Amino acid sequence: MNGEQAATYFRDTIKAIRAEIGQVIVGQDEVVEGVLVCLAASGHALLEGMPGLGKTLLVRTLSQAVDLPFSRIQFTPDMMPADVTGTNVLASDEAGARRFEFRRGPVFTNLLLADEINRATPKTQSALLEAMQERSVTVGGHRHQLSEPFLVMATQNPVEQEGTYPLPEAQLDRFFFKLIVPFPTRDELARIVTTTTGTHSGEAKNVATGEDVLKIREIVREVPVAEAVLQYGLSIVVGTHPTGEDASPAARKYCRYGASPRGAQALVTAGKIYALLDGRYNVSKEDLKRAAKPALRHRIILNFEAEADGVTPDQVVGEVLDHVEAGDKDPIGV
Amino acid sequence: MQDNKLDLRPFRRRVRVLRAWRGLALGLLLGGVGGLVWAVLDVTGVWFTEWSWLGLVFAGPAVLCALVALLLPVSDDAVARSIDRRAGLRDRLGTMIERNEAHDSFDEALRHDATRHVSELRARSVFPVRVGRWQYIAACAVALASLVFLLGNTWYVLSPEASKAKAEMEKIAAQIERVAKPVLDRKDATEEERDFANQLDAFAKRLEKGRMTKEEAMQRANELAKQAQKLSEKRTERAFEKMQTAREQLTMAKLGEKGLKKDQLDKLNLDSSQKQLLDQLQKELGPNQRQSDSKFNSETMQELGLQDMDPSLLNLTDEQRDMLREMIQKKLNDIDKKLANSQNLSEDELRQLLDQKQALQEMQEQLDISEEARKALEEFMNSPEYKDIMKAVQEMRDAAQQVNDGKPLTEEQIKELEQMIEELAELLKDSKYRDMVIEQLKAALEMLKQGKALALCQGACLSPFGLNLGISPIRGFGQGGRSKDNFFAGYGGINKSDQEEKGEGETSLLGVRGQRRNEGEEWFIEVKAPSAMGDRTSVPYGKVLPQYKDAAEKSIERQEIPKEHEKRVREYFESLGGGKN
Repeated sequence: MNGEQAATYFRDTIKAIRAEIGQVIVGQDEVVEGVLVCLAASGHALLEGMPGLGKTLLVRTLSQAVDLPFSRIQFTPDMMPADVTGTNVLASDEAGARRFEFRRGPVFTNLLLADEINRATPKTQSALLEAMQERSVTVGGHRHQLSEPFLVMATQNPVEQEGTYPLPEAQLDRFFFKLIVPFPTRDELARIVTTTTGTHSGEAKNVATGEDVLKIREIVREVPVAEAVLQYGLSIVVGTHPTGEDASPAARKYCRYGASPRGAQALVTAGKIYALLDGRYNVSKEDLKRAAKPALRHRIILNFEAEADGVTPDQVVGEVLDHVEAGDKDPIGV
Repeated sequence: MQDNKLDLRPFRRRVRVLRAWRGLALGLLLGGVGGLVWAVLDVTGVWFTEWSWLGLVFAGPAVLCALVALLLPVSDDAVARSIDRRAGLRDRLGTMIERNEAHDSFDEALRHDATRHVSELRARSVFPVRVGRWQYIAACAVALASLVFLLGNTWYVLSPEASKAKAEMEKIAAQIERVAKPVLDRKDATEEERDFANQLDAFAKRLEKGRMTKEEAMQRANELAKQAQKLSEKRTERAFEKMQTAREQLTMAKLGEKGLKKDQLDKLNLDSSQKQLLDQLQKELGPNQRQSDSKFNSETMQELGLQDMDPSLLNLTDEQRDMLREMIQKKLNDIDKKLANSQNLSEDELRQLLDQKQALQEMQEQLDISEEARKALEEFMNSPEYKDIMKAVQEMRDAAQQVNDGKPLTEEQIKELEQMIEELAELLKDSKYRDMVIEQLKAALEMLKQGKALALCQGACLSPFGLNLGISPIRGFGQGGRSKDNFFAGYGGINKSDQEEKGEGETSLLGVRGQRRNEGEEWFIEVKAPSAMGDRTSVPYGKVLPQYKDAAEKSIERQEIPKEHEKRVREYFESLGGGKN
């Protein structure tokens, strides 16, 4: 498959999945696109939004479209790591001999919805996050490999903070994108109500397979990035570091810590996917700008002053982008 | 399939054009700032300029910067990335240029994609020539500089009086510039003369620009005229020196032909003891023998160019010289006898005798030299060359005196002097010292010519302000002349007309205003300049003018001035301009 064919294959696959999701999910275009980017990038998505905005439906529809198994974990404070990963249970075989047998938890799936992840204790959270990073689970000294593709979509409620355990920075960093699920518009809401309360509810068809997903992940890695574009992306990342030489004024003022190297990886990988979705064979600065907020918003840690001023991470990233853009001059300059 | 070779040449050319356009603007801005500074200097009178120079200041850096910008190298990478930005190609070209040699799965597709996009672009639309920020700033700088220059040079348009004064000043300036130029252009001009010519030039420019009040101009003209006069005098002094050298060289050459050398002639200059000895010897000869020939007096010696030589010995007659020789010989014999019995003499007496002997021997030698010198000089004085050169020198001396008196030589006079030198050269053609003498005379004439130029400068400075120095408007018997007190006196007819008449050389004769008799002749004393022009006083004109005006007004109030002249007196002081109280 040559470059043009690979790009076409990628675009067609994503378009088909998206079209199927669109049959069921009304609106939420950016969230759907973000989830698909995570799928193509082999990353995980953290969705932040109010309950009832279609997050579970989104994952279920996606699983139907790509024909992959789907699990959902509703996190609660009393949930134990074993409830996520699985555990060894005492079982007897046909001969009556007893032995420990590993009973796989809900994490052993391809698409996992970790609902309200911040309600679980850090211990339980970390069990899931290990699985997310290592693509494997270790129970009783045995390592159990998760099947690929593996995509976690964790959700958290931004309002109800009582009795929650906010995810630590190190764990947040493992999410490829943090997507904000907005409340639907009036028109979208009308369509949602009409669809869900009527006799004909939408059903997603299977348009791709796990193999397809793995293939598009390989294609993404092939997309070239020019040095100038890469430097632009790195400028965005280092611009979020308050103590760095290239720190933007907003970062100096409002950031405690900037984005990690994983942030830079996420930015460039997402840029590649956006380039392919846009029908190009190269990453552009615009692609990086487009990916900046979902890739970095959960990776920068704001200071007290930002909280006091009511500054959000998105505003800081926006200002960092403006700062980097201002420094990116036309090389001809006439 | 489309050829994947990317051709950025049209874009590179366009970028060069744009850079030249920007360079032009930056250069123009630079020129504009420079022009503004110059315009300010022009307005403040520190350093004058003209439109043409100002234009050159604007255009020079602009053209230079445009050329430099045009020739600066343009890299493909920069052009590609710039096109990406300007044409919204989303870094297609930049990536392609960077991965030109790569052959990964997307590279071919990328090249094809980028080439296709570029082929749809036109260099002109990607890099349009626009009037941008720099062009506006440059235009503003040039406009500001021009405005400052324009306002500084056209203020007089607002007032008719000022306009008239300016026109008058411009006329004067042109006149001064005309006479200053030859001084500046002369290769043999001294540093001092060049400095003076530069000052004159600057003065002319200030006048032309109308940046001086009339009083200031008059004061400055006065100063410059004095300077011109001093320089002119220096020139004529040098001319005198050259002529003197010519005569001295000729005389020495003639004496040399007779075997007399310079060191021998130097012996004829008697010191006080030798004079005393000669006087004593002459006394001893008796009163009848003391009467010397007075053929060689100081005047004659000066004519011969031997003004440093004592003529005492030259004026002795042959008879006197013989008698002196005899007497000296006799005295020497006496001294020798005394010396023969030296055992009876004290040491002092012995030294005295020896000194006397030596003095007498020297005198003997001097008498011999003077005899030869006298003969040689008499022979030279009777030769036609001597007469001719003396005539030539005399005429040049007269000319030098004329220049020194502030009257420049006329062209006719210069021609006559040149012709005379040529004639003299012809006469001396067989002499080996011809070149030497003619060269000195020609140098002297050159000095006089330069003196003439300086005298013209002097006239040009003063005459426009009615301060004619040495250029008399008075005609008739007893032309009068400039004294040290700067006045002219004489007796003659008066040019009462207001019409200008041509005088000698470049002199203009103007009528003298005032109440005079209508007929006949009269004695007159005409003061030609204010007291500041004199050699003894130096009160600035502007300081005394208000006092004079006050005095005149008081006289009018006291009715000391006839009614019909009151208006004239007032007009006079007003015409001077600075007579404000």
